[in-house]
Amino acid sequence: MARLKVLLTRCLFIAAALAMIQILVSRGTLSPLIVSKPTAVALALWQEIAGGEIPKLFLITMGEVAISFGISLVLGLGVGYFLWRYERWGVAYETLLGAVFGSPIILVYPIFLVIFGRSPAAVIAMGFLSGCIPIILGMRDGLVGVNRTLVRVGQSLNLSRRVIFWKIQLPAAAPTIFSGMRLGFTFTLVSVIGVEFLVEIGGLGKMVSAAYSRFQIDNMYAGITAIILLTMIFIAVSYNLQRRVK
Amino acid sequence: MNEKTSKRLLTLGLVAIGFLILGVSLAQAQTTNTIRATVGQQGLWDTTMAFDTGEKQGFFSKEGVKLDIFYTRGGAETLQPVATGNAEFGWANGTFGVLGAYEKGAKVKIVSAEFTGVDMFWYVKGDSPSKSFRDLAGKKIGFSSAGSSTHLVLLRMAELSGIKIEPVAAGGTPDNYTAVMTGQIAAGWSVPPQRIEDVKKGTLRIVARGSDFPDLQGITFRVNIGNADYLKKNPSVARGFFRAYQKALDYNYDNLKTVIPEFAKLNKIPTEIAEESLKFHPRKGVALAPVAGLEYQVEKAVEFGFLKQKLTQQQLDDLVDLSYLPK
Amino acid sequence: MDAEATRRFQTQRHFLGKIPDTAVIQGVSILAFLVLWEAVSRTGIIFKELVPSVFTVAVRVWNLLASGEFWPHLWISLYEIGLGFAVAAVIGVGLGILLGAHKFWRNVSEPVFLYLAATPKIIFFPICLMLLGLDTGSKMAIGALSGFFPIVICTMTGAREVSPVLLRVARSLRASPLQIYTKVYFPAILRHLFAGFRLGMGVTIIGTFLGEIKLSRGGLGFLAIGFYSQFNLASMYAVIVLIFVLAGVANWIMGILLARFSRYRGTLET
Repeated sequence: MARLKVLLTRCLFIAAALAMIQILVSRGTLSPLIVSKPTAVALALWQEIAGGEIPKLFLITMGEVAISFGISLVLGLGVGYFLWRYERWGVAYETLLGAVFGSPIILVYPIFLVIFGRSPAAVIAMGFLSGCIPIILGMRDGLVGVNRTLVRVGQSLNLSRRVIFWKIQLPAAAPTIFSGMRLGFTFTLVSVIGVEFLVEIGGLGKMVSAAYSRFQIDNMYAGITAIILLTMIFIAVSYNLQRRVK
Repeated sequence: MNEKTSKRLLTLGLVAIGFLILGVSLAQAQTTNTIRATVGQQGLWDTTMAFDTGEKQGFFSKEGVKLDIFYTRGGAETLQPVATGNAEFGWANGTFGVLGAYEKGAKVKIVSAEFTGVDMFWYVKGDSPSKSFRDLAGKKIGFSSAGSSTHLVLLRMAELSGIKIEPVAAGGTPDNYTAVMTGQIAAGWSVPPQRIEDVKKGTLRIVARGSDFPDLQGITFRVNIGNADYLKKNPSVARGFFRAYQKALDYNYDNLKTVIPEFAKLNKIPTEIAEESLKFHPRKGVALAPVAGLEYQVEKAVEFGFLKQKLTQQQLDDLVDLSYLPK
Repeated sequence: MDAEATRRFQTQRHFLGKIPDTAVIQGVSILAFLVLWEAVSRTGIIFKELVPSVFTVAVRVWNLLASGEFWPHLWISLYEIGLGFAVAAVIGVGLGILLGAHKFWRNVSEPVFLYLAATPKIIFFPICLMLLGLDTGSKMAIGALSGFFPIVICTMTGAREVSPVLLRVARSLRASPLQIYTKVYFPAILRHLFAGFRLGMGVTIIGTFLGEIKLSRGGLGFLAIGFYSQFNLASMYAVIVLIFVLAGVANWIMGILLARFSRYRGTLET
């Protein structure tokens, strides 16, 4: 019952905010050239979905995310494992990677533009760069953080190193590894859409930028809404998966 | 420590809010007769030099106008601020974008032509086998973005040459250069003085320029716009602005020997390159009136999806207002 | 995080008896990267103008700093980042405490903040442009918008963790709501606040620079993209290097502040 009340209150607040915008724009207090009426945005959103434009753009964006995340996973898990296995390297690179991760790495996107041209490849490269570091760190931190007792138990049972790794260490590290993957996915998604917007290529990010360029403000807000909905879905899905892994 | 910290943080918060209010209000403040103009592409002869001269020679201040110029990278960046009232004039807009914005209710007026004819050119790598535009049949050729003037010109050139090409939205001039040099496209576009030095050196070769297609010479591909509300409230300021601008334009063409070196210095290029660039901008190209070929562009705008339907004559008369130009 | 291993290695194996092994690896790695870059530049595998020599970039960095071209843009960026962060901090902490203190409102608002936090804020930039114009205001706004979310989320997390004992004591002493907020919540959540500030500063910096890149007429992002438009990639790299240095310094300062307030928390909790 409490959860329902929370949900209703949340919806009520959002609805109230949208209603206020609707009224202000209809009255002319807010210029319709700057803020669209929520009803107009909903209409534009519906038209773009029904017309197939948004599904197409969605697939492009998701394609880019999938490829960059896929590469991030393979490389990230691999490098993370290496950094755990060889402790000295791990400690050394933890600081380096942490520093790179905390920096505005997305600002190097013009370099990819020049290498790959204005193509999805540039977007994918940027997505990969942003997403692989959390995965590397998650893999390493997860394995490092495994309780030594568990390992010693396995050793006392005379289990081989490989068995200990696959049956004890990896499962114990799984939540942290998965956390890193989730973070990496989020960063990939954000970077992909961000670069799409900045350079006006690809999928949904491009839609927002192009709509702004063509003065189609309703479509611009529809694109923004679509992106928010998309991230909501992915966050919700990944949270659920995370809970299951635990 | 508790008390001090929370008091400090509270003070910091109040100071921050104070700065915020100050900052935002300063940003919005403008003195009367300050004209904010968004100008697409800095450094080009047609976009920059008249303003430069006008300020240096004091033409604008004589009319009581203070210029606040904001250089953009073209396209919507130039148009949007004028439509939303964040700038009074927008310089060198693609006519398409303006038509589309007007249809959606943007309160803008076309106050003058910016350039009539084609000043852009297409080039290939110096060692490319393509010697003329016709040789590019079936190849990938770059333009800036869908529906831009470069797009329209490219398609029209292909039509007039009777060849089929593969147009690629490769972006701005630097993006096109990279794309050509890395072989992603066969030919890219540029506008002088950019890439002219490379042409002179031989690393690039021009395969198409505006003067090759006399049919295109009579169309105003770029216009200047003004915010309609501002124009209604400040017609005399607008007229004074244009008097100064026209004076600056005339001054430039009457004093090429002194102005061209300035142009060269601005773009950090040698004077001969600057002179070469000027060949693309004949005096009649930068004439502020008339705005020619509007019907043709309206048709194409519908075709490219910039307009939902053709603008009526009444709408066109409403949109184009050349009354602020000196007689 | 990995303090154990770090300490272990930094006290044990030493190269040349003085430098810790890990530092050597870090140094060599960075050097290797530079050598690789220089090699690619000299051989021209990738289009020559795209990968200028390391030395060229270094010279450009020097030129930028010495010529004075860099400094006005730096002040503009710092101004935008500073104000944007301040706004994000004030609103984020304020809302974070207000909403985080009550379980109901926390449950109502936290998911919304989390979802919006994951959305790339740069897509809201056109709205900032339209509302606040072309100058620093819009950049400050996108910076504030970016930084707001980590700050409010961390603050709410902190507010949630305030010991109920402390609250009961305060209430039994008839403390007013304002006193409870400023004298109980505030100090107790400082560690979370600064964790949020650190994250928030990072994303504010990113958001502000992206805004400058997209549309502005001053600031380091503007400078960088300007060089890109002129195809002066060596200078663009130079600006990017300086931006990374700036971000690194900001992150380092925030890290120190965070560490300081984390230690502080220890004494309060008992």
